[in-house]
Amino acid sequence: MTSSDLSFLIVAARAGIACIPTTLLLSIVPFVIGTILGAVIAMVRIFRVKYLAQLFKTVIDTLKAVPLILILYILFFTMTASIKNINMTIVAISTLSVFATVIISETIRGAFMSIDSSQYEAGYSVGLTTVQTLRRIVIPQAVPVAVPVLCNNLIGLIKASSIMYLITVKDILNGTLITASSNYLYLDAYIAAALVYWGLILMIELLSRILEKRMGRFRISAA
Amino acid sequence: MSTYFNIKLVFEYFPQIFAKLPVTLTIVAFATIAGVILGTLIALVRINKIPVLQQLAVVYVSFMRGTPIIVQLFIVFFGLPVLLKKVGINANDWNTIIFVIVTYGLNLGAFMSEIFRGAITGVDAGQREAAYSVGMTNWQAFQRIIAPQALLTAMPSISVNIVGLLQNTSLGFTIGLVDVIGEVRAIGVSTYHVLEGYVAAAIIFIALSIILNKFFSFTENKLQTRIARVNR
Repeated sequence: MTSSDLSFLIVAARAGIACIPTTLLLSIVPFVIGTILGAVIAMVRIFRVKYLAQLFKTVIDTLKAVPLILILYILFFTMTASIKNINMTIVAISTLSVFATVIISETIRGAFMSIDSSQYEAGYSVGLTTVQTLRRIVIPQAVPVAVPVLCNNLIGLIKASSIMYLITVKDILNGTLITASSNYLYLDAYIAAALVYWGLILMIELLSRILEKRMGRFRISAA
Repeated sequence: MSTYFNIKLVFEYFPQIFAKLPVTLTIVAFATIAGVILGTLIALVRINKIPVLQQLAVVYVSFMRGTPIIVQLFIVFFGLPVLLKKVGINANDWNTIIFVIVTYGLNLGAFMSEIFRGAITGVDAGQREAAYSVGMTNWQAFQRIIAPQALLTAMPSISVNIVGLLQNTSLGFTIGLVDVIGEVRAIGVSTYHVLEGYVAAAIIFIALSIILNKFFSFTENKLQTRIARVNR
């Protein structure tokens, strides 16, 4: 790589870094929506709510099997046809919210399933209601199990959001690619994008590890 | 509504889109083989703490896990011909499927190595000692005692990753691969109907996932009963 290439790599990476807020918007908003909807779906399935549990299971299992790109294009074509001049960021957030709801509902369900049923029984046996048992016994144990997986889900969302360059959302990937449109140094632009994503994800992994350690502290004292 | 979505067209396009399924399956098959081999090598490097290679492996796995697969796909697509040109191989007119297989093999290898490493180190040390105590060599102990148990714990994660690989193949169209999705786009160009094609493609992916999941739970059960029988 010549020095001029290296200087372009820096230019492209800078452009990518400037677009980090968009990528974070595309991943954190769906993450929050996915956590709320995912928690509801997980609860319905754990407590086997009649009909609804079966319905959610079918919907989640089906959506899990559909590649994100297909969810994106199906939503893109329906949304652009039914709403005039829709903002592409909204299409991107909607798509990623569907994806987030599917993966996070499974994370939350997994965390709750990891808690032994004897914990519920113990709660009931001392006269706690279901809500009290959940709040005081089950959730405090399920959260430390869920947190590392949720961090992984967030990382998955950041990586998945990169396909939104296909619908012209200016995220990290698109930001770096635009710099290559005049000189065609696409390989350099993609390498720059990779480095920006890598840095961002390493930082989130670091935060996740710190968070895990703090959570672990409670777990040890509880045991 | 009916102007841009006509359910009849879903069925009309289906055979044409379905005909591209072998492309997707080829990628899954070859990338899985490459991923398993690469993953095993990386796992062995890291478990045996081979100097230099171990550090390289850590960086490699971190890069593969820390960057979007679509970016990796384009880096391989643009970068591999440049790299091969230096050793005198012309890769410019290679079929795009090769670049897709290389990318997904490299990516899967990183994820597999982590699964294998976790599974192998997760086998109780007493198992290895027991194998040695009856006179097995290092290789025999690995092959007969450690590997089968590690495989059993690794199986669920392996299947999740291969189903993920199946879904990731859907990004191949971005570098011009004509797979299931590429065909939908080709139909869209000539008929202006693309949504129906995407729905048909979604149906294909749902069916494939169901088949793949059934296959994996079958193998898992088989493995479990076999190991249980040996233990008895």
